[in-house]
Amino acid sequence: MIPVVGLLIGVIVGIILDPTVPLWMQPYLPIAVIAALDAVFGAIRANLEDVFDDKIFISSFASNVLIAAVIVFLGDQLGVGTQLSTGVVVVLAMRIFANAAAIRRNLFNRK
Amino acid sequence: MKKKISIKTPETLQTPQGRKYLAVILVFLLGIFITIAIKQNDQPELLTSAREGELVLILDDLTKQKDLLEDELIKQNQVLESLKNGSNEDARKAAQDRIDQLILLSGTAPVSGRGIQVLVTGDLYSVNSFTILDTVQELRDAGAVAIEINGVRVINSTYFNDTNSGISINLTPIRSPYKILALGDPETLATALKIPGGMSESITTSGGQVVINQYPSLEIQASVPLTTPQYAVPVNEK
Repeated sequence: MIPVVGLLIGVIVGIILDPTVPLWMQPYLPIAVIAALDAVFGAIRANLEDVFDDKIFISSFASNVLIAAVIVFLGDQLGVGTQLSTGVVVVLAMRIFANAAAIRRNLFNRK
Repeated sequence: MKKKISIKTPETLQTPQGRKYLAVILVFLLGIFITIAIKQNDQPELLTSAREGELVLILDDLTKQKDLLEDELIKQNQVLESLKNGSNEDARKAAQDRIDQLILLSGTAPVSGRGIQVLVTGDLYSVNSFTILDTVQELRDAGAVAIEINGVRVINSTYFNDTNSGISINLTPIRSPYKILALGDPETLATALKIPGGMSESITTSGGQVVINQYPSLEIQASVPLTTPQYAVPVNEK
């Protein structure tokens, strides 16, 4: 419950403060957000399966964001930034869907 | 022998309470980042995310546009100067140019120039008022300055209707074959009509026929009578 509130407060703070991102960060932000979402979905799934471990969540959140950013950065340096970004997004989206499916199954089984 | 790798974790991460706080903070940051990412995406055209090649193209385009506009500005300034200086000849020439433009637009006098002739044959099913309207619009998009259909000049108030035997333009009934004359760059006009999904294709697929001929010199005889404005008068700019 608290994380959901945290997310909502984050959204509200983002809307109110309207911070600007440094230029060099802008290409990485969308990818980082999706990577973080993947971590969050994984956490929800783990929570429902009663195997949630905050250590794992924190490390997966950080590593997801970092690796995604590094991949995009590397792609930009190699001249295949757009393609690699697409690849990262596709993989992360697949994971999110898989997690969402697991969450759904779990919710149905609870009844 | 196994070597144990240990990573030193910060103090706060060692207590479950601290980890919980950190998790909430991370989710909170995610919320902020989501809004930023959405906002960033909202901006119409993000030059920052464009690749180098695109940027060069955009810059090129803008430079060309700027050059054109500057040329235009210089020309207009010259006209303004000469008009201000009261040279009668220049003023008359400018006025004449304006009249020529207006004659073209209003269709009140016969005009001639380069252009194309489009011969459209088809029954009521393949050619109706919508097809003709489409054709006129496609021609205008391609830069046609004057259009005539079966001896009727097409101007801004021209309208098309379906009748039992064909089409009517401004209540003048016309039948197939429809002869459309349009003045403008012949190449551009012809290409515009031939684009996939355009007028030529839609008529031929529904059983009609379209023949397009380009002419270096073409005359549009038909004109419309000059009418006195009834409901509006031009405002004189001083």
